Amino acid sequence: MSADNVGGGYVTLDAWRPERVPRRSLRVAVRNVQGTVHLSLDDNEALALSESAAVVWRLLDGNRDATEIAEVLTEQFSVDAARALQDVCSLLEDFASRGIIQD
Amino acid sequence: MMPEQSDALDLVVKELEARGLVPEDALAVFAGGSYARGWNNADSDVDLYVVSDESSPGVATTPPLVPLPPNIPMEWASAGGIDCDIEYWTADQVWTSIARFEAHAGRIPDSATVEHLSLEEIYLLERLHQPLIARGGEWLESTAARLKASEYHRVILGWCFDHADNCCEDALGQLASDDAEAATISARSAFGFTIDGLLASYGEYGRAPKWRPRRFRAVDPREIMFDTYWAVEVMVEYDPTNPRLWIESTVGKCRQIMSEVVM
Repeated sequence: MSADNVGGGYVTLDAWRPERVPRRSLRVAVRNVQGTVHLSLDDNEALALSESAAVVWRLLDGNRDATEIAEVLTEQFSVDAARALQDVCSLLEDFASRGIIQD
Repeated sequence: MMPEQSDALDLVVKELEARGLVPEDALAVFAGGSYARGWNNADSDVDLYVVSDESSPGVATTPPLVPLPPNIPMEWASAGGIDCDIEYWTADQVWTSIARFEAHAGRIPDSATVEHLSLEEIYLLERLHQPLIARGGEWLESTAARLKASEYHRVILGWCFDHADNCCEDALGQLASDDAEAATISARSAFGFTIDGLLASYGEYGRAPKWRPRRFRAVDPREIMFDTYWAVEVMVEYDPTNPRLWIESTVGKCRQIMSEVVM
């Protein structure tokens, strides 16, 4: 999964445990500009999500854990399941560090 | 539009013309609001718009040149058994209102444009989209086309979502300070602005909340089902002993919808 334009630098593998259930922070404002989801962060910075990152973001409903989210991505993007889970966990760790999600 | 609605309007306008309340040389005469949409009831007034090249003779208080709204003369009359609220606009006034939403010399209209509108302009612009035409169909069609080609809906959508964001922030802040009552009202407002923005993205913006369900059904947006919308609108799941759940769920729905509506 490509998450290049959410800031890059995903080097922490499996930092977000697969069984953790993330949910979006309600404080983050969001817009869909020409098909690209933009999140508004606390420091007035806007974060543009890649297509796959946006899919993950929309799945953060507080009901699915990282494994279940990865399963959706595996199906939707035809990617390897183990790789999808690894990428999802990395992305969630990045989201958490930005205050975009909570569990 | 049902033919009988149109026929009834024609009788109303003919009577108003005979009484001198609609000038013979009017560029356009149309009804807006609930009557034009067929959403009226037996007690509804007709919101009638008369557009002329010049300010209508015999109508009080109209300056001779091109005043910006809200200098819009109004009359109230009963015709054909129907109460009419009549507004008299000049063509230049109509175009001035539309021009606010057109890009000029690098100026891109934004949400602030909406804040500077008069109430008369707000209603005129939303009613120009689906008028019930009595006179001047060609003029109205070209004017509606100009409005459609403007930034009107994009700006309205942004304005609605900006207000929705503010209300979401209010709701969460008030919730954090244990002011659940204020948070409840803020969440309701956030949802209203969000739905209004959503409907604007389908070309169905309207200021009056009472018509929100009608507008919703008219476009059937894919982002949220009517039943889900209605359950929030009438607070079906609101638990006074635990308002937090409803408030957070409602703010979450607002965010979700705003992520899906393409701007």
